[in-house]
Amino acid sequence: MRPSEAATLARQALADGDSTLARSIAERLLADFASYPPARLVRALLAEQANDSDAALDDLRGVTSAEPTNAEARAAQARLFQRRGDTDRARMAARQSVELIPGDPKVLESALEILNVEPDSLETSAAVLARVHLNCGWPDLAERHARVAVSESPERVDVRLTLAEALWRLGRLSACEAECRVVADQAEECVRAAVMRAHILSERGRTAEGQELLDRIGRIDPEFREARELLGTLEVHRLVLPGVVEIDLPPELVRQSNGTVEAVTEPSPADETPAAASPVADPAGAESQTVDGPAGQVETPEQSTVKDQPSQPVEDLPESQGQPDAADSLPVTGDESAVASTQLRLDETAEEPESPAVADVLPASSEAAAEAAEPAVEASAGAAFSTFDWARHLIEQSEWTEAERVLTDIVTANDPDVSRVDGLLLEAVAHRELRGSAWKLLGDHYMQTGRPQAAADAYLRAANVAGGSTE
Amino acid sequence: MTSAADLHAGIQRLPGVTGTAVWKIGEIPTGDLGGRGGSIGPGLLSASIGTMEQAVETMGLGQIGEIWFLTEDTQCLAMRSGQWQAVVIGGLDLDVDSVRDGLTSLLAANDEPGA
Repeated sequence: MRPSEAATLARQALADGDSTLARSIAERLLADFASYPPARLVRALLAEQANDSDAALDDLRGVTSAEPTNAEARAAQARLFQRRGDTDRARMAARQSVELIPGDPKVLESALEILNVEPDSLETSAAVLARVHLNCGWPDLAERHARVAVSESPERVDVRLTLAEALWRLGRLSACEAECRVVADQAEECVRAAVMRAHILSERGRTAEGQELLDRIGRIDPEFREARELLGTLEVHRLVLPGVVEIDLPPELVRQSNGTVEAVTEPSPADETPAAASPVADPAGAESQTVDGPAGQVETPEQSTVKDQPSQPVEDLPESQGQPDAADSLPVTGDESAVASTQLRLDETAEEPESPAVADVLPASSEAAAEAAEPAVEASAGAAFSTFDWARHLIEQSEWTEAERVLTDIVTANDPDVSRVDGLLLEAVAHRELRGSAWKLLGDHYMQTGRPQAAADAYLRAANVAGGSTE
Repeated sequence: MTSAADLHAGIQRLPGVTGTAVWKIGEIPTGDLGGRGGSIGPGLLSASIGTMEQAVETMGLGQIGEIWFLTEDTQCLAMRSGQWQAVVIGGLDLDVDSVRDGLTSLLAANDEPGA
């Protein structure tokens, strides 16, 4: 069974008041994918029911880190803050939820109740307009409003993500990358930002690195739904979507919820993967596919439109991806985006409508599931896409120029976590190739943080390195 | 709001000034010391003056408002006004009094009220 199907069962159990079943399924999912947002959301809602605010907020933090635009999670946060008497944060989270345009009326009602306003007295903010325009496939307008929204609320990661996506759809990849970094610093596990960054890397000819980043996304989003939705808007791209993982739900859990999934679910975007294989056999078909309609998000990053349908060169792939399963790993085409864009909404985890009928699901063998689960659990602990991780990764890969650029961005961003920046830059000075620039950046960082003596020392060391190089 | 780059350009126009570093508290010093010290120069000089300020404050002597020093071929004047700090250098012919006046009015004009 696919994780999204299991999550749907858990949501249904929760809706039916069967907390035990909902918890069992959620825990089963989280055993395999510790950061899987739909399962964490179920667990958070269960904790909310049990008045365990700390546990609920902890899970919701995880959900919003992976999916900053999850309106249901924001609404739940608002309710929990309200319960704690933290009215300011409750209102802020509720406003965020409303501005994310929740598709579920209950989510909207819950947020409006906290804001204590009627729906028709809500003001239309720049954040809302940005999301509306993005959903309608007008990224240029979305960008304009997103920039206003960012200037109004620079701390809002969901707004940053909207801006990043608008830039990505406009093909302004460098600007998008910078925004994605800001997003990743606030929401380390943000899947959508990671997908865009993976694509940007591949567009810059660093396909293996992009692919590696994409593979890491599978630890949080095992069905690569966000990747399919985003990459599906491109006519062509170089990334290979890994095969969908299945989990082995204990038969008693399936039996308890038997027959309830079919009524409410639709095919998942992942289900379309085999169908999407056909355009590869018929490249013309793939190229001619374009997404249309208001939800289709027709804009395509410009760099992508001029390329031939490429197959992933094996030598560019990490070892684990060297021989992808053709049935599971074909590049996504516009066809899928049409499916995805009509099914996936911003608060998609709130409804989980995309699972296929249970009868159609091929259960994985328990050994296969166990094998798949083990690395997933192990990997999820370290799954993060922050700029800091990225800088370390570049240093490990001896990508000195790029590493210097990322380090400069980190210093310029003036991260409030001072010791984290100190640590990273001190790691960087250990590398001869980065030493001069890293000492200078360390000096800059010390100046920013009011430590002129340390800054003078760092600048002197940078000057010495520069002097040594000249000699 | 004035950026450090705008202020730097304004200070650079003061008569006799050959190099400037300017920064706001909590930001990275920017500028150009007429090629002296390369890209590290503005930071190094600013950080060194900042160190002296810190030492003076630590000794309980108060906050330095202005520092001037002279070498065999250079004069240097560092000033603070509100959130802004600036370091200017020039030759021996630099009229420090007139530069001080110009710098004071530039920094004061660009300081945000209440800062």
